[in-house]
Order: sequence, then C-alpha cells, then structure tokens
Amino acid sequence: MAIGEIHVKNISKSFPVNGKNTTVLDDISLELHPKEITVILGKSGCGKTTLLRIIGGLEKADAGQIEYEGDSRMAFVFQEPRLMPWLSVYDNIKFSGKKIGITDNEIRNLINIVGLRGFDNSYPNQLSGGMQHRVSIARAMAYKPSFIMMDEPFAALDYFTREQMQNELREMQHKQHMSILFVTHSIDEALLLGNNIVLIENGRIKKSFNIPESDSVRDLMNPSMIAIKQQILEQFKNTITFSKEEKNVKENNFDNACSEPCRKPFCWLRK
Amino acid sequence: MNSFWNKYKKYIAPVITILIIIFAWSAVCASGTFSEYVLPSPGKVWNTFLKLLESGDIWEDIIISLIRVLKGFTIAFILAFFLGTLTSLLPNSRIWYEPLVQFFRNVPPLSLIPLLILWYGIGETSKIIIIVLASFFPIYLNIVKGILGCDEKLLEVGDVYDYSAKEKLFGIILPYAAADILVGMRIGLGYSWRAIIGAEMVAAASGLGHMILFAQQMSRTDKVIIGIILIGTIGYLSDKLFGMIIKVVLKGVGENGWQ
Repeated sequence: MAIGEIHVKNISKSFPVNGKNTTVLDDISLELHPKEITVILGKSGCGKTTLLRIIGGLEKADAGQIEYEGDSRMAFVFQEPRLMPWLSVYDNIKFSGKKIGITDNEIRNLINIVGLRGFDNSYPNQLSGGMQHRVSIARAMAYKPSFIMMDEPFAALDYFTREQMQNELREMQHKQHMSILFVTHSIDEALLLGNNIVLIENGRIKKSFNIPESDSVRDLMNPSMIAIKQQILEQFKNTITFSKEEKNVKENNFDNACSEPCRKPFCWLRK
Repeated sequence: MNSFWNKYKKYIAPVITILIIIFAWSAVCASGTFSEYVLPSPGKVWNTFLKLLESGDIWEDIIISLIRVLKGFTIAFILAFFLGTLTSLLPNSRIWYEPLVQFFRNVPPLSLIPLLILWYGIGETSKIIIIVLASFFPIYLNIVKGILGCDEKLLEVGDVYDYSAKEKLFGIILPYAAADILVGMRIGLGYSWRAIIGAEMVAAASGLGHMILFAQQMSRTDKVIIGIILIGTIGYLSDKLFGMIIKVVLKGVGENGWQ
C-alpha cells in the first residue's frame, strides 16, 4: 500500500455564533508526512478538532483544499470510544474491517495487539473506559488505513491508563508503520507521541516543532524535552487573555456572588 | 433459609399475595354478605373452570381470541414498521399523512365498532381492524422515536468507514432502534389483547370477550370471573414471553446496559 503525504492548503472555516460569523480556522496550511505522528496542540476551542474533522472529511472547509497523495484510506478515533453497544468486541472491530474484507485471524491478532485477549465476546459496557478506547483503536486499525485521525482519544482516561495507552500507541505505530494525526491539549502527551508538533492558536498555526526520533520510550525529564516544553509554554504564555467576566472574577469583583454555604433567600436566583 | 428466600422470593411473594386474596374472597363469601350470584365463591369458580376445561369449549374461545390478536398484531407491525421507517428516513413524507395518523391516534378503536359492524358485519375483519388500530400507534411511535433518536456520533462512525446509506440503516440505525421497536411491540401486544376483548364483547359470536358477555346474560358470574382471570393470565404470559424474546434479541438489555 503506497502511503502518501497529505497537503493541507489554506484551510479556512467559520461558524455562525449568536448571529455573528466566528472564524475557527484561518488560512491553515500543513504537511502530514507518512509513517509519522503529527500532533496538533492547542487550547480548548482553538479549532484543532475542526481541523481534524475537515482533514478526515467529516466537515467541509469554507476555503482551501486538501490533497491526498497515494492511498488516502483514513480511520478516525474519536474523543469517546463510540462503540456499537449491541456488538461484541470482535464485531465492533469487524465493523470497519469487513469493508476491506478483514479475516478472522486478523481480527484476533488486533485484539491481541490492543491487549484484549479473552474479551472477544464482551460487550462495550462490560469493559472499562481504557479497554473501550483500545477497541476503538483496534477498530480503526482493522480498516488498514494509511492515516489514523485521533481526536484527544485519551482525554477522558486517568493518568495511569493514559500513560499506558500512549506507550502502546507508540509501539503500535512503530510496528505497523502507521501515519497518525493526533489532536491534544496536553503538552506532555504531544511531547511523548509526536514527531511533529503543530501549535494552533485562535485558528492559526503559531509554530511547529520537530522532535528527533529515538527507539526508546521518550523521557519528558530529558533536558532536550524540557527545552522544547519551555519553548511551547513560551508560545502560549503571552497570549493568555481573559474575557470581561473572567476579569471580574480575577479582580475579586464578587459583589453579587456570595460564599458557600449561603442562606440568603432566593440566593440561587441571583447567581 | 435466608438464602432460600432471597433466591426464590420473586416467585414466592406473588403466590402469597394471590393466596391472601383467595382467602379474603372465601371469607367474604362464607360470611354471606353477598349472594352467590353477585360473588360466587372461589370453590364454585374452580369447579366451573374444571367443567369448562373438560368440555373443551374454553380452549376454543382462547384459541380464537389468540389467533385474532396474532393476525391483527402482525398486520399492525408491518404497517407501523413501513410507515415508521418512511417517516423517519424521509421526514418530508410525513406532511402527507401525519395529521391523519394523529387523528386516528385520538380515536378510541372501540368507537369505530358501529361503523365496522355496518361495513363488515360481526365477522373477523371488523375485529382485526380494531386490533390493528389499537396496536399500530405504540409500535409506530416507538419505531419513529427509535430511528430518529439514533446517536449521530455512531452514524459518523459509519461515515468514517465508508458505509452507504443502506449499510447505515441496517448496520447502525435499525440495531440502535431495536430496543425501542421491541418495547413498542410489547406495548402494542398488550393493547391489542385489551382491544380484542372489547371488540368481542360488542361484535362477536366467539372468543373470550364474547364468552364473558354471554355468561353475564346467562347470569353465570362464575364464568365471567373465569373469563377475566384467563384474559389476565394469557396477557401476562404473552408479555412475559415477549420480555424473554427481547432479552434474547438484545443479548440481555440489563446485562449490557443498553436501552
């Protein structure tokens, strides 16, 4: 399977909010290289999920274009596992795989890769959150995609499960030579996973970082990693702005608010 | 003892309740407050029941009523499934028939009996129409609810993996709606059972409803009570059976928490 690059050219997108057009993405251009993990990093509401959905074909851009080189079969791992509740683990993985004629052995192999051996016949609600995410990743892999789009897939997981999943994902990516586009708001996660890190702010690309590949598990305490983290933080530092309401709170403007527990009648109405 | 009770309490408790009711019923009869005609004793009802079983007439009435329910319910399901799917998948189509559907939803099927007798006599057709009208709406409304309520996020998964509209309908929308569809069918079955008894009491020469009305005219209160108990029991058993089917089809709603 020829895996090609994806060229994202001058993508813009705006949504109507309260009658006004709010620009979410503003002239974004990006190159996604094969067999690499590209991480889109940004604060909540910066437009990173919209960009991912546009590249993944789930939404249309207002302007710009995306060129897919070679095979452009794409799979998506969403923020929530989005498993079919009426299907077992095996059938959930087959859900995407049957479109490309996946074999029984391949499904069993994927179940092993994501560490769910013995859970073939379990239903989603019988699995923990982490296990459900693994099924959703296996479902994406069963589609044998050239690119996997991942939208904060580990955001809802606890620290330990997240770390384990991140390591497993890196391992899988090495073994299967997958290309991944990963969206996150966690700098640590970006540093652990990414070959390229793209910072997005207010719908624009702020800066990109390239992290040299090493075979071992990345150590965030490594001086070079700390240096990159500092640079990333530096980028965000100057742009933390507050809205009017947030400023009120910051300046201790608590005239109308009262502390808990409050016994004033109808206080909850005034809040 | 405690574990025995915990294990079997869901069977034992209702039996105890029923025994208490029978005991109270016997006590009232024995006190002589009511005449035999108004309230026959449990013993008399039981003896009459055995006689009815022996003669075999009762089986005939039960089977006739059941067949009517089965026919009417099947037709109602097919109609509701077709119209419900159409309404859900082609929302624009509903402007043509939605007011009519809502109109008939508010018309009690039994009120149509005079017309139906005029048009179709007291034959099978009028009773099956009553059942169809009674059970159509809960099935239809649940199918529409189930299909329209399909999780957009799951449909998006279908988009990602290149599912066609037809594949999404059979692979995502209908399985998702299965719980609602089956619940609608279960309610519809209950409604059709109630409707047939009413219809048989007004316009029939056979069936359990007719048996009850005929017994009343013959002043056989014991037979009326037997009729009522049979209707309740058959309704309960058919609902239980349906519940079991739902459990098998949905692979244990309670167990996988999906409903």
